[in-house]
Amino acid sequence: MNIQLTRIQFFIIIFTLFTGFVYISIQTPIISHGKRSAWLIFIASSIFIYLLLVFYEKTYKYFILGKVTTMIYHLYWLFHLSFAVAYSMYIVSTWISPYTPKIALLFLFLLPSLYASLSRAETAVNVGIVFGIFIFFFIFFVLNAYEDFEFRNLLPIGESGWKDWMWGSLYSLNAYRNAECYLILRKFVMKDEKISGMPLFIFIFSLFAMFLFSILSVMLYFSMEEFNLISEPILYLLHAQEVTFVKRLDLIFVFIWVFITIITLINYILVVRLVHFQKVRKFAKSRIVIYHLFIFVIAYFIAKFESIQMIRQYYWIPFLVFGLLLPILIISWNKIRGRTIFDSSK
Amino acid sequence: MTEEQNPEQVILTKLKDSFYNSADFVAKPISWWDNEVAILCFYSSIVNKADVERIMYFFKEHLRDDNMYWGESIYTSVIPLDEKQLAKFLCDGETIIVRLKTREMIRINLPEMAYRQTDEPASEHVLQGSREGLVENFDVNISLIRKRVKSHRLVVKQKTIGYETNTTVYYLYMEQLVDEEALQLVEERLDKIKVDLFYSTGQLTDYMEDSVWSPFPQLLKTERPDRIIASLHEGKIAILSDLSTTAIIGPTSFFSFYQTPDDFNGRAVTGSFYRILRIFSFIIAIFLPAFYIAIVSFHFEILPLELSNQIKSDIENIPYRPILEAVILEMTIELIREASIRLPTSVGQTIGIVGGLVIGDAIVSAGLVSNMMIIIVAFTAISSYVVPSTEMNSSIRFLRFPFMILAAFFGFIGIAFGAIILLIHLLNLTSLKRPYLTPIIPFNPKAIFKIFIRMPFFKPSKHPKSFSPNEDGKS
Repeated sequence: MNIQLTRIQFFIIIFTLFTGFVYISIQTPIISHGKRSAWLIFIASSIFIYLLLVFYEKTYKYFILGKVTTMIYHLYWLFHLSFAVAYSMYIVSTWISPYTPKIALLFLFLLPSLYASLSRAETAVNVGIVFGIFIFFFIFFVLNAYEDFEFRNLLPIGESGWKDWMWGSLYSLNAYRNAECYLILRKFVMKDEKISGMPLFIFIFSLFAMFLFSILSVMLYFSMEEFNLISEPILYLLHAQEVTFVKRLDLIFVFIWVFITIITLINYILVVRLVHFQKVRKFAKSRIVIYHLFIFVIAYFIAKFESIQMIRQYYWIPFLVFGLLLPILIISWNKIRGRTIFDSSK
Repeated sequence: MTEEQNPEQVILTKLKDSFYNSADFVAKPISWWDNEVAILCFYSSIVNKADVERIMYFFKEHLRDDNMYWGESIYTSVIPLDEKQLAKFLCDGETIIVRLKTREMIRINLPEMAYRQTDEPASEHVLQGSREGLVENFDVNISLIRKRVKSHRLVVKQKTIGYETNTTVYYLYMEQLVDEEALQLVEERLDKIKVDLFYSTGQLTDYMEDSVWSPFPQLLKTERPDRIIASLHEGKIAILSDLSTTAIIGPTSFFSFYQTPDDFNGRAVTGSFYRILRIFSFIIAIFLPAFYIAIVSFHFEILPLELSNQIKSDIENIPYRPILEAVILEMTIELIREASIRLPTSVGQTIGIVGGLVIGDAIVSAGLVSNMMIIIVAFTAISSYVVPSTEMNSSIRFLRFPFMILAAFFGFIGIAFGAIILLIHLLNLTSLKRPYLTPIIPFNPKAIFKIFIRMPFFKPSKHPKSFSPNEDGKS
């Protein structure tokens, strides 16, 4: 399977992958661990991510997945996607469809993804384009709360200790946990498209601005103590808003978020397909169906409040292992051996 | 064969037998030059007899003068006798004179087929601009197009389809501007049509489209020559036939169906405004009833208290679930629409009024549907009729039913599921192998701007291009 991406398509996919699943859930762990310095911690972590992606941009050609690393990533992605679907189901059940059976919700989440994955690759590549429309809706909705913003919530910043900074940073980095997808997708970008320098900076800055906007908004709206009670502060913030024509903006947002989640799922499975079908080409459609069945089964079993909360506690690990350490290890190993993706494809 | 019959009589009998003694088939001996006997044959129903008579007189004059090319003119030619071709020429409306002595046939191409005078297309009304529409005649249609493009780069090619009907199909394009790959595809697909009977544009569309089972039309149908011209200059191909007033244009994009000549004939600002309004109407036409059903069935809390109370009191005494209410009303509207199309215009309008006012009022008084549902369905119907293309209009009206069912079963989550399936379907769709959602996908920010905004004609030297094969192939 081979695709060619333009710069815009590449950035849209990465943007979707980074923000899609985590956007409504990252604020609470960052703020409850980082306290009032959370926004500062997030800025520092984002600078680190920028430097990391600059490094990845320079070294992506050494990111070659072997049999073992492919297997490791496949297992991780399978679990990650299953968890994302389970978490999405949990949100939908909690906020808008409490009486819809779990199986029906699973079908609703996975059928569009299956349909897109069985279609040509261009469909999965381009589906994220609608994401942009939703960003404007989201900003508009959140800014409705500006009258209730308490700017003193952001200060003082010196109270957080090193432990707060450490955990705050780990959870902040988790916002960018799909960094390995950058390395995988980068080689499919057309050769004449410039990524490094200003385009990469603008991309990371937009991503960072999007995340920071959400963190600042909820910090301005809720007091520190409230974050111990609310796991999805954006939804609670929107829940408290009322505009002339809509009383529950949170429901509209969840509706939009379901849309975004399915798009992210489609894009993620595109990444899985790109890795899996690089060498294997037989029974492609059956394999995609089986992969969805696996997600269906795993998500079905972990879609419980207790399981989701437990997994979320440890969800700072994936970025460190799969987005940072393993890629750096693979890149270093191949750099020493002098192997690049161009040799590998030959 | 009897011994008394001469060769002319034998051939005449044979000819009449081969045309099954059709009432309008004429075959008779005539005396030709120098006491030679020839046979004149034609279908009296499709030949301009007066002109043929005049041409025959000129023939004899030319023969008398011993002219070398006596049989060659705009309408006539002389070719060797070929019995198989003879039938085809006669069916095309030609008059044939068979010279037995020289075994030649003289073709006089002066058909007189029935066709209407050019008129304003009933399905594509405009407020300003040309009122001319295509008719069921090749020469008239091409003349309408050629008078607008006085360029030798406008190419017209033809193809005969249907073993029994021998229908001629024409395809037009602008040389040097045309999308070459799409042109090749059109030619290949026309060549692949192997049918006995070919009689409608709908048949042609089925053969030419990439996905026949999609609810969305992938080829633009128009009866307006000005629209054909605009499309040809965008590198598209137009296909016409003698049987219909409709031209098929491809490759086309989803957004082409939302454009109308009025956008370009009016002012730039108002043109842009109405264009945005039309695109917005697509969302209302598909999603509004589904949203209403989802809200009253599952998510009442989304509404402000005052509105919520009002709707609750309105639907309190309705015995049916909202989906049933909506289906009753939507089906009523579809029936009224269908009835008004089939009836004469004056009666059709009456049916519209009776259906809209009388039935609408009665249905609410009977307590079958709520007032709110009437408002929603009426608003949806109006939004769907805003689309300038009748085909896209039908697709949109059809599509709201699955969304209503999804909303009735799953609420908002069902609509989100349906919307993403719809999006994926639109992404999968192509028109003559070009992306249907262009210029949104592949993403072209400058072109997206032009979907919504009708720009002034400041730079006429640059040809607008809807499709860019090099760009399309990127992903």
